[in-house]
Amino acid sequence: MKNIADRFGKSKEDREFIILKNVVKSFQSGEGAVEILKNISINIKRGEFVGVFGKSGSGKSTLLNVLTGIDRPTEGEVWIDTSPIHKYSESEMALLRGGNIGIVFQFFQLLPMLTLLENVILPMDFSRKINKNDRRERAMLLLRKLGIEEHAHKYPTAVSGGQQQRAAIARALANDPDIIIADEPTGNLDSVTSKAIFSIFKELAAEGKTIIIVTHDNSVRDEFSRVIRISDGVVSHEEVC
Amino acid sequence: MMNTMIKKMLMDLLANKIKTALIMLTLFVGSMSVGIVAMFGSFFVPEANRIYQNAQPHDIVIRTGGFSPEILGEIRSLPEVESAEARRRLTARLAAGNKKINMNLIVLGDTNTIDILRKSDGSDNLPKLSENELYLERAVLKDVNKKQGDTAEVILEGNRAFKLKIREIVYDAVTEPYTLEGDITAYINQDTLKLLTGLEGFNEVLIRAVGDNSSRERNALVARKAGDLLESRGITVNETEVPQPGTFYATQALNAITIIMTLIGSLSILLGVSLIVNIINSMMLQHIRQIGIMKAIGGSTTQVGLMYFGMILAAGLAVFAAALPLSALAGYAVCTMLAGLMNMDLAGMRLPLSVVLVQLAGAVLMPLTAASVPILKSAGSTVYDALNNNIKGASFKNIPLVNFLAKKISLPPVLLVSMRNNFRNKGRMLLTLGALTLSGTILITGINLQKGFSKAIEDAGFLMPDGILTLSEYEKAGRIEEIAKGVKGLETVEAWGFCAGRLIEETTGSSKKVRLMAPKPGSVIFDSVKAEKKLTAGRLIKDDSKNEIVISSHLTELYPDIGVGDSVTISINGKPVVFRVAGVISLFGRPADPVLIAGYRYLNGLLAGEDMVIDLRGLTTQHTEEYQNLVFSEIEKRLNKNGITVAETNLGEAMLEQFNTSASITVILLMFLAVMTGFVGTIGLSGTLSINVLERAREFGVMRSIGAANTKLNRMIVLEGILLSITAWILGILLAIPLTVLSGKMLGEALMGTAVGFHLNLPGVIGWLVVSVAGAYLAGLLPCIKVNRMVIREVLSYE
Repeated sequence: MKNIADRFGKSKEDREFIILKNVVKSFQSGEGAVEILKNISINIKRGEFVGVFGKSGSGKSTLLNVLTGIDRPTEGEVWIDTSPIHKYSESEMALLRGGNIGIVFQFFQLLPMLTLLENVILPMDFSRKINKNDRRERAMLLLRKLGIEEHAHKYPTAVSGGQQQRAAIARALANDPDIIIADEPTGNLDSVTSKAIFSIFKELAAEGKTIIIVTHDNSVRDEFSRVIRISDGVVSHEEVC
Repeated sequence: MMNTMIKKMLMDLLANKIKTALIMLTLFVGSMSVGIVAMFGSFFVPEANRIYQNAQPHDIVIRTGGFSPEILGEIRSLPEVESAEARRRLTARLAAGNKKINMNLIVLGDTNTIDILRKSDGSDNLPKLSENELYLERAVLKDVNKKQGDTAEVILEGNRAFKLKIREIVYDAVTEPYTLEGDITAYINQDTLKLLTGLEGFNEVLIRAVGDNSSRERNALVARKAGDLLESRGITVNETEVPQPGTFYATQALNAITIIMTLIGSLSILLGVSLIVNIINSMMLQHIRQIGIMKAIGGSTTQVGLMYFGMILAAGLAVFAAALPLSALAGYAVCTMLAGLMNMDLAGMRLPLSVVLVQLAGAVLMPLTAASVPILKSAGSTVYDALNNNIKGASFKNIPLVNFLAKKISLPPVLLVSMRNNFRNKGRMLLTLGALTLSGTILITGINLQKGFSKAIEDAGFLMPDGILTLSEYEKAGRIEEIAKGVKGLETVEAWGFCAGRLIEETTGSSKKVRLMAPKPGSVIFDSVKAEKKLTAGRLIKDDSKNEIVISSHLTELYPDIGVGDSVTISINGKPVVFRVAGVISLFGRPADPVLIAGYRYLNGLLAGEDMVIDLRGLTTQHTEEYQNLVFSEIEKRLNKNGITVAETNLGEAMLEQFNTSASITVILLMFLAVMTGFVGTIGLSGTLSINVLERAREFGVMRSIGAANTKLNRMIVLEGILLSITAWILGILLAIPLTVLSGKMLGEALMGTAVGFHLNLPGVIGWLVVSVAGAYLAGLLPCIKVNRMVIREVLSYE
């Protein structure tokens, strides 16, 4: 399995891994263009565990969309390792995400017609990075790692929110991506489950994954290796913990 | 383990049971329709041609004065002639209960007994005819209960009745059958002919040309040589018939049916496309967020698109597997029914490759093509748009027309909302409107045509009265009218001039049999006002017209070059008479011999004298076939008492029956098609309203939260459907006008021999409005139930 650095022939040196350079994102509204991100520049190193904080409407989710290639910047550049994703087409971006970026959503977004196990296998079927015969075993391994192995053959509606989010994280890990990006992953969970889910991210960070989590839960602020605060579309505060 | 993409695809199919069922039902209806049409075109038409051509029809028919069998040998020895047969043709009637059915009595020569005829089961070991025996063609058995060994009462000219034994029920694949033509065909031999009439010899030569006989011009040359030979032996050639090779009596009927069937097939495909686009659109709308997720976790546009195409492919293949055998069986059943009508035996069921391919295209290719736009649009949407349900067209837009109406007329807010909502997704609205308009157009065309056909049949009365008696000999017009006048139930009786003649083709020398009729001056039956309307060129014949003639559309179909002012030569009783064409009239029906209209005195003068006639026709007070038979049988009895014999009786209703049947079949087919399209359109409308509801779930939640009761919301939804229905109804009326004119011309000419004019069937059109509104109301019920079940909290978090 190749990661981005291998694929582009780069070494895994300690250098800027994710770069946002002068990113502007604006939307058209009835009253003209509204800037959500205002000339943001952020550099994230490989293996960092980054928390993005901000109030509703501050632009943090837009920032995440730009980072994952879900949305394009109006201006500026977004680089993941050596890949200028601001120039990528939708299909190039899908390919990159499939192999190298795992996304976790607030509302889990598991496909309701597939079991938890199948939901985890699906990204592997898309990217074909993992050998076909190994996919099921790997999916089971991930579900076991996340503590929901016994629910593998259940459909999403048959398990709790926390179990769904664990399955969603397993799905994000399916292709062993270098980067995990999560948008309010505990926003829809109770505090006990939230803690459990957050500890999973910490473990993943400890394994060397680059993790970026958008949250407004200040209680977990100290868990991150780095905190970025967004306010009115600009980086208002940045600190390395 | 099953691939997750395939599993998702199959689960989607099963999860959306109603949509899947609708897709499959639509595909099934479309596939069945095109399958049946393909069976007709690829199986029945070639099979009917094969059966006809296998019977080896003759290339040339020469009708002559009497000749002896020796002459036939001379014709056979011509190098261009492969084979020749001689026959004689008599006009007779068969007594069947209280009816007398016109009969073509064919006298066979010894050599041609088994040339074209077969036993009714198709075998060729036909027993030879003896004296006082006849073969009865099998097509009549549907109306006449006779079997081999029974006695048949044959009435010849002069009302002479003979009892002949039915030697065999036979099958003649070449002659137009009783089921289509209305005349019985029966066969006797020379001995019986002599016994019945004292006559001997033949008056008809049937020839097959040597080698390639696919050229009519070449066959005409052979006919000319044979005709010259006959004339050189002193035999009068009355008529030479050289049919267009490869065509036969049913070619025109088959063409008409092909038009209708192709129309049905094409429309079912069109409807299928519109409905599938609508259903897939709604499905993609529901799945758009899933598409976003799949793309977010690495699925490419191609992979996501293929999952949905795979779903359609799976549904299409399942439908194909079910529809192929069923449509083959249904198609074969239709073909068997038509074969029965055409007196043909199909040689077992066969499934041509083209039928399989057409069905595959209908069940698989068509839905894939139709679905490609919504699938590619959704699968190609960006992750951002997909996750945020940013579907183009779902948002509200200002509609100038609605704004204008809102300003000018004080429309209630509910109506305004319904009007504006319809314009939210123009593509979807147009598709639904298209399907509804199509069904309205077809139905209105159908009911207009039905009125047009009825009117055409009614209008035909000016030449097609309730009954026509053809006498054996010329009689004084005044005398026979006087004899008939006292008969109860007879409203009008008129003696007309009538004779058969042959139109001489100057270029080839061959001739075509024609019928000349001359209405009595001041005729009530010949309604000159109606006739004037039917004129396509020139004018009608005047009472004092001499060698003028009005030709019919039947003749101009055969000889399109003949027009007003031209001279035509018609041989009457062997004497050539030159007529000048005064007008061209569009006539009803498809007679074998074109009808021409001449001046009464002039035509009778050429025959047996100015006041001598052979044709008596009348109008009865009631117009059922039974009543007409009763009245004209009584006239015949009275004539017989006065020593006047009737050679032939033709009743109006019997003559019209075949046109009524074909017109009814056409109208029924169109009605069926309209009901089918209406049904599909209503389902489409229901689907559209459901999608609209789904798209606006949050709006409904908001409206509920500010106090809108279910009844208000339901009224809004139902009103949307009704507005679309009424628009479709108006568009349907407008589009039906050119379609009625076009199909009236095409179907009218094919089925009735004359273009059917435009007639608006107002009660039908208003009835369709009522049905449309009711359909729209029903279509709105399902989405209303959906809305009524929505809980505000769920609705507001729906998106």
